[in-house]
Amino acid sequence: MRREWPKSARAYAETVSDVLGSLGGVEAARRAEVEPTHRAETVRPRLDAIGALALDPWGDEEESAAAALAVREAGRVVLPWPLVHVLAVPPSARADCGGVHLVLGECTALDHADVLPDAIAVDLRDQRVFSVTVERRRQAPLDPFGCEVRLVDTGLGPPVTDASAMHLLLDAFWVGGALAGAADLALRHARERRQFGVPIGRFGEIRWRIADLVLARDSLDELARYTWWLLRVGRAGPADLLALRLQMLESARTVLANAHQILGAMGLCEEHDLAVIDRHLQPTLRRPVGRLGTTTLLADRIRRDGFDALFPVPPSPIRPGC
Amino acid sequence: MLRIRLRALLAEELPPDWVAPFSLAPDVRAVVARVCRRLADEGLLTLSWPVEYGGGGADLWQQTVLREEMWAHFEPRGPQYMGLNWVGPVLMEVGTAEQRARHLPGISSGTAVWCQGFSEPEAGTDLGSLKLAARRDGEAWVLDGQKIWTSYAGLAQWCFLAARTSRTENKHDGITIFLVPMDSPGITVVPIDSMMGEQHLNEVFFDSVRVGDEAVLGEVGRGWDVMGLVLKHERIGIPRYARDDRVLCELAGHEGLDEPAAAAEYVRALVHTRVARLLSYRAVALSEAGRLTQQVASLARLASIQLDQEVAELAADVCGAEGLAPDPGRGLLGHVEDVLRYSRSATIASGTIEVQRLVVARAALEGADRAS
Repeated sequence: MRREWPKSARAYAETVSDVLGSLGGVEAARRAEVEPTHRAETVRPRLDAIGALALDPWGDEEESAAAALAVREAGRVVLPWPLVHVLAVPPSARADCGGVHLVLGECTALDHADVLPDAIAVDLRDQRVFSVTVERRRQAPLDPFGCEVRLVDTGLGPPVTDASAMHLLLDAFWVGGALAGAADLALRHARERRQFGVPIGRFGEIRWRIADLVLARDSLDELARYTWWLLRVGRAGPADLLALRLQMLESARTVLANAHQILGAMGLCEEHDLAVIDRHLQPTLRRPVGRLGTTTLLADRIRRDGFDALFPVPPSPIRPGC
Repeated sequence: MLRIRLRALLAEELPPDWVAPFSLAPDVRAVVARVCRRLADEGLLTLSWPVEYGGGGADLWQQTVLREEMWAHFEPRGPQYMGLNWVGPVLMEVGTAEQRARHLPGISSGTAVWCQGFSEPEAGTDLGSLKLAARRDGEAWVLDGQKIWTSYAGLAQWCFLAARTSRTENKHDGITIFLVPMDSPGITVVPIDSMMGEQHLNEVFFDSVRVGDEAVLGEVGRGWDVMGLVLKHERIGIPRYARDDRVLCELAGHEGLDEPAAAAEYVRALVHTRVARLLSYRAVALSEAGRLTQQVASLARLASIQLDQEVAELAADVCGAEGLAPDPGRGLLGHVEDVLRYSRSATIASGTIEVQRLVVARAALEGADRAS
């Protein structure tokens, strides 16, 4: 595995970052929450203008990396557009399908469903495909772009083969970006905020939190990069992608908890970006399933497929029925 | 492929339930000697050494595979890993021609045992505070003081000793490294009975021990720089994840995993093991590119040492009370109690977890934490 991202992909990520900066960064998420049309009227055209919505994450190495890094930049500002849902649709199916949602069993609400035409939902457990009909928007602090939906089973099969794998992979890049943003906010605060006459970053307890936060952030980054490579070389099985999701959820929990603790009451205020990042990240962390459910899914999958390692775990390591 | 070759070799040479290299027991020492001899015969003992010193000239990735396989199989080189991993390489960098000629053959043949004399009762993590004194007396140096936590001191023929030759305002100045024969008059080794097992921890007392100038490694008073070289060779740390990986593989199918809570912890540990390996590989890759930072190395260590304790606790829980005593007939799972005892030292040995966290936090606060 080559660790360096292609130069062209890194350059493209910078372009994406500049464009998102021109939208106000996290401010775009705040504005879209108050003014939902901001998403389709302003955010989407800007992404379209730089070709972000046409990227093929299954494409050649440079394009695939560009897609992953673009998603990461979007996640960094919790961009109010479902970029992952769009890019997880294989390009050949995009004319007929505007986006793909991941679900697990019964589902009554999905985020951004109101801006994705002809979207479908794929069940993570059995890959069943559903059409999505939006009933109405259902805005909530932790589900700012949630919509009540009705799903209708359309059966198995194309045109979205591999969509759920790509969705799981890109979700990790999205969350990785958001956590990097949250970590930067916490670090800046630890450097600048003074208590008892010194920056709070001088205190051992704060440093301890910073170390745990950085480790959690980097753990996700490394596993996401590795899983991206596994997928590219055709070696990423469902267990690998669920392992990535599990790490994503654990990293998010650690980074957000420590960032909040370092920022104190300031980080709870809506005017602070951390509060917005935290709230807007929650739908990705809970849909289609949170940490406990993901752990169960992963255990099921490892039972069936085993798990690759220096000493590979054979199938059925956990006996049936438990 | 190196990994397959090493596993085949170890399968031939190691007893099925090999777990304990820290021992004076004749059968354990015989296994270590046999494995070292076989590795030496096949050019694998000094695989990581430069070709000009009779080594294999292996790249960092081959060295990583070697370290992983050795650690996963309970370091069957026993005390030799110290000489091979850093005493030899440091001698190559700063030793005199005479010192290299005297010491390297013993290390490369797996016959010389070294111990590291750094820690003292009042200088653990704060190594710069070490006090063991070396004073000039005519043509000789006279060593007086105490070292502690010294692994293999009872087996070692040589000690890589840090001593204070002068006192200056900067406590890192005035330290000198000595290569001291452990059979020198005045050296007393006192084993410390510990939950880690015999030979793991010792006290070493130096009472007017006389050595000549030929024992001085590097410049007098510049020992801190030499210690920095030691740390450079040990920076990424032990690949603990490799043994944890093996433990998890051995646990597969154990009835203790029937509990949903245990199964959940098991799959989490598998993910954490993969992540610890990747963080370590990041450090190796950056080291290869000459861009390894202390923070990246410490992050790899942080993941690995915490994983070690997580997996040991899980294995002990899964095996239950039956695992409290060794059961030689059950392979690795018959020695879960050893895994648990040893894991207690993971966050203490070779730089405590607190120091690793401080290194990471300091770099992050200085804005230098995205070196990768």
